[in-house]
Amino acid sequence: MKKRCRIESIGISMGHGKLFKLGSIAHAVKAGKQCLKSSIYSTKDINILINTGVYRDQHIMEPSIASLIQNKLNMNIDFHSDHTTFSFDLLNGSCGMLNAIELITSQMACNTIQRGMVVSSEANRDRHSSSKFPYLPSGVAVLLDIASFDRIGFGNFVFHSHDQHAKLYQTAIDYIKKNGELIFEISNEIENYFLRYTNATVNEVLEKNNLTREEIDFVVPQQISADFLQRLPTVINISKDKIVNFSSELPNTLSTSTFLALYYFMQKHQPAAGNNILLLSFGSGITIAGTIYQV
Amino acid sequence: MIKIKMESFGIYLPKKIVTTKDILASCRHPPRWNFERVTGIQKRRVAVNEHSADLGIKAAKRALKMSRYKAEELDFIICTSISKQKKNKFQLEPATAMEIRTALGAENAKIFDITNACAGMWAGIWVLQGFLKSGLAKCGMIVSGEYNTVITETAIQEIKNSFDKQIASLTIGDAGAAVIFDISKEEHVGLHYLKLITGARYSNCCYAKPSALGNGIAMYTKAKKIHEAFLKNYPPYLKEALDSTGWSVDDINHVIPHQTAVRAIKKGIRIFEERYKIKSPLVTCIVVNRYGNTSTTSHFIALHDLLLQGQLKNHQNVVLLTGASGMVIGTATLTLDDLPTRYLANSGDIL
Repeated sequence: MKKRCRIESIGISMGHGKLFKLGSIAHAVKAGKQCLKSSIYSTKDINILINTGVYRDQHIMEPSIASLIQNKLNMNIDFHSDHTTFSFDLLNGSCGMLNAIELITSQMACNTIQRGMVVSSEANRDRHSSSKFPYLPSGVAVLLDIASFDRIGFGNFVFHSHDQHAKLYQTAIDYIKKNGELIFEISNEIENYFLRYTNATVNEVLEKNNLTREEIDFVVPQQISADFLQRLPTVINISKDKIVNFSSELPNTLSTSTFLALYYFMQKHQPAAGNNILLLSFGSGITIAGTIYQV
Repeated sequence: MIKIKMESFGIYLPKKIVTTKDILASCRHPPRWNFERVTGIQKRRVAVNEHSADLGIKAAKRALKMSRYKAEELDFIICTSISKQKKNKFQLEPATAMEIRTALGAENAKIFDITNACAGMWAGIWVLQGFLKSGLAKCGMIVSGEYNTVITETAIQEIKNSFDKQIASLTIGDAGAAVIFDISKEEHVGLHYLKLITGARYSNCCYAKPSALGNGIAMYTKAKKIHEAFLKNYPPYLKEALDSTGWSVDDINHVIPHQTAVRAIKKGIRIFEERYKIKSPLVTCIVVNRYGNTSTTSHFIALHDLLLQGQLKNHQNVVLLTGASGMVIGTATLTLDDLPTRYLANSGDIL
C-alpha cells in the first residue's frame, strides 16, 4: 500500500503585530507555533522543515530562511542530539507549498522521514516606499505525517508549467538600490492566462487520482481575486457551490493563500470524512498546480 | 535496497581568471595579514556578461551531452543556486529552474528552486533521491549557476579592516554545475548514504543580502565561529557515514570536502584522522586554490578536476563532506559506475 501524507495540523498568522509590523520570519514562526500547539507532535518530532515563502526579511539570500525559522522555533537546533531536523527553502512562487508537500510525500513513501513541516509567509519589509507590494502579510504552517488509513490525505500532484508566458509574471530585487528594492512586473492579463490553462490541470489531477468531477466535494483555490473566483467554476466545469471563496475577507496572499483558505474552510465548514477537496495554486512560470486532499 | 546513481554531470567554468593578488590590489582596505597564504587561494574564475542561470544552463547542457537521457525525459529540474542574479537584479519569480527548463527544452520536467546555502546541490540530491526511490521520477537534474563575483565586488568596496565580516567574500569564484541522477541497477554502485542536518543554533553565522550602502550584494560571515562549529561537529557524522556504508577508511579512494580554504580543509581532515586514530592519511581533494569557493557547485568542480587529472577512476569510492551556513552539515558516500570513462570521452570542449 502506498503511504499517503496527511495534514495533522495547520497554524496561521495574519495581519500586523500589536506594536510593529511582522516580518516574513515572524509570520512563519507565529504560524509554526500555532501549528505545533494544536498538534500531537512537538518540535523534536519534526524531521524536515521547508520554507516556501518568496519575500524575505531584509531580502536575505543566505542562509536559508528555514534555518532561521527553525532556530526561532527551537526545533532540534543542536547537532548530535537525539532528534535532528533538516531545513531548507523551496521557491516556486505560489505553487511552492504544493511542491514541498509532494516532496515530503515522496520522502515518507521511502521511509526517509516520518513527519515534516512546511511553512510559508509573505510580508513586505522593503525599505523603499516605492515598493508596491501587492500581498496581505500572512503566514501558514502545515504539519504533515503519514496517514493511518488508505486514501486519506494527499493524492497525486500535477504541476503544469507554461514557460512561453514566463515574462508575464516576474519579480526581483534591484540590489543596486541601498538594502535592495522589490520590483514587480506582473501583467494585468495574468488572471486570464491562469484561467486559460486551469481546466487542463484539473483534468489531469482528476485522471491521476481516478476521480470524476462529481466526486469532488469542494475546490479550495488560491484566493487570487473575487473576479477570478467568480469565473473559475465555469472554466473548470465544477458547480459554483463547491468553490471555496473567501475573497471578500481574504485577499491574495501568494504562497500562503491556498492553505490559508483551506484552514478557514476547515474551521467554518468542517468537511466530512471521505470528502475530496481539490486544491489549486496559480504561480509564476506560469505554473498551475493541483492535487486532491481526502479528508 | 534501491540506490540512486550519478548518471551524468557537467560543469562550466568561465574563461576569465582573476588572481587573489588582483583582488587584493582592488580593495580599498585590503587585509593586512597574508590572505593568500592563509586561505591558499591563488585564483578563481570570473563570469563576464554571464549570469547565474547562464552558468547553470551551460553546465546542464554538458551534463545532458554525456547523459543517456534527453532533455524531454527529465522528470525534475531542481535549481539550487544561491545566486540568482541577472543584470543587477536578484530574481525571485519565476523560479530560476524555469529558465533552465526552457533553455534545455525539458518540457516534461517539474521544476522548482531549492536554496540551502552551499549545501544546496546536496539538498537537491536528497530531494531528488526521494522522488526517484518513491517511483515518482525516473531521472532528474540538479543544477546550480553561481555568479558570486557580485559579492566579491561589494566586499572590495566595503571592507574596512583586516577582520571585516566581508573578508570571506574575497575567497569565492564563479561556476556552474549540473548532475543527473537515476536509479542504479547495480547494488554496489550509487549513492550509499546521504545525510544532511541543520544545526540552526548557528544560523546567524553568515548572511548574504543587499548592501546597506548600495554597492550590490554583501555577505557577512563570522568565519571563525562557523569554522569552529563545523570542525567540532562534523567528525562523528563522517564516522557514521562510513559505518553505515560498511566502509573503513581503507575503502575510500577520495574525500571531497566543500572547498572553502586550503588550510581549513587540511585542518578539518586532520581533526578527523586524530579523533579516530587513522594512520594512513585520507586522500583529500583540494581545488579551492585554483577555483576559489564556488559555493553550491564546489564538489562537482572538484570531481571534474579529479577526472581531468586522471585520478578518479571507474568504480571508485568517494566520500563527500558538506558544510554550509544555516548551519548545515552533510555527508555522502558514493561509488561511481563507468562515469569517469564516459566523462573523459565527452570532455573535449572542456579540455
